[in-house]
Amino acid sequence: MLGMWTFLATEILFFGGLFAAYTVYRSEYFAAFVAGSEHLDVTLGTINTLVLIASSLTMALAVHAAQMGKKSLAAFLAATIVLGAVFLGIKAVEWHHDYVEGMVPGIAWEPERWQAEGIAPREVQIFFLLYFCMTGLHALHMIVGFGVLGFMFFGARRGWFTPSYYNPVEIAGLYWHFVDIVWIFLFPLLYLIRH
Amino acid sequence: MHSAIPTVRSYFIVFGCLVLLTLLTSGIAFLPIGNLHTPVGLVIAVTKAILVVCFFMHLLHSGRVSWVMIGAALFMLFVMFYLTLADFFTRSKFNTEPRATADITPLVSCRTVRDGACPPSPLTPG
Repeated sequence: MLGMWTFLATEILFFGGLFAAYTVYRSEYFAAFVAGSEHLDVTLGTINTLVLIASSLTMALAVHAAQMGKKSLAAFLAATIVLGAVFLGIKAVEWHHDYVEGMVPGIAWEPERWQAEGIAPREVQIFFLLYFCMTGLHALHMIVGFGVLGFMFFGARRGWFTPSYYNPVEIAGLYWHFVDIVWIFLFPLLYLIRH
Repeated sequence: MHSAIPTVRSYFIVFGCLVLLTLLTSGIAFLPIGNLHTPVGLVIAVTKAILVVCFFMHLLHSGRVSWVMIGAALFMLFVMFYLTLADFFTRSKFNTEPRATADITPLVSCRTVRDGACPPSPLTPG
């Protein structure tokens, strides 16, 4: 338990570095960040946030089921994974749309759109770079989470966990809630930048 | 480590609050409140994070050691932000013009005039 909290402390600093870079560049290129942010789909982002929060609920219910020795543990773990997969699916849709629209710096980038709005393409590139790096790193963490939760599901089906031994489920929960918290901050900072 | 087992009902109440706060933060983005967008968004995000940490992550029912661990992480985060921003926010304007201009002050500080991208320094001879 303490080990997982310690690991989460390092993860806070890991993401914190990207948030610090975001803070520096947003303060300097605010207009470009607003322009870039307005091209992100708030509706999809909101749905994704709700999906991830729901997966945190099913995770908490899974830990609760483990505590009470209920058979629904495996089902709640599966639900958490499924909701996480829905989240990644929506993110893939968003990223594909960004690729098609030419908003991926270095891979598919159309500067004309920004020049027409009077925004420096160089500056918006930094916004989108941060967007893809931060959400990409977050997505990587979710994929790792799938592995962890999948292993827990495997163990739950084999009856590894009892009310007196459910520590692995609980610390897997801590990791998953942390990934949710990172997204809770990513969403307003990336999608909701307005003048 | 747990003094009490949280009820399923409490989880759903927290979930409801998180959903409401999410819809609130998205809705507020469409209002013309100008400079307030950032602080309001951050306050809502911090509230949601606290709800998740205290209830879903059982921090309220955990021993002091977990609290200390989070406190240490947040303190180090504060230090990182403070020192980073103290550096960048006290520099002169970022370079947003073509490098052909003589009086540029770049984001990355120059160590030597020989780099070619740095303005001549009164400190170096010649």
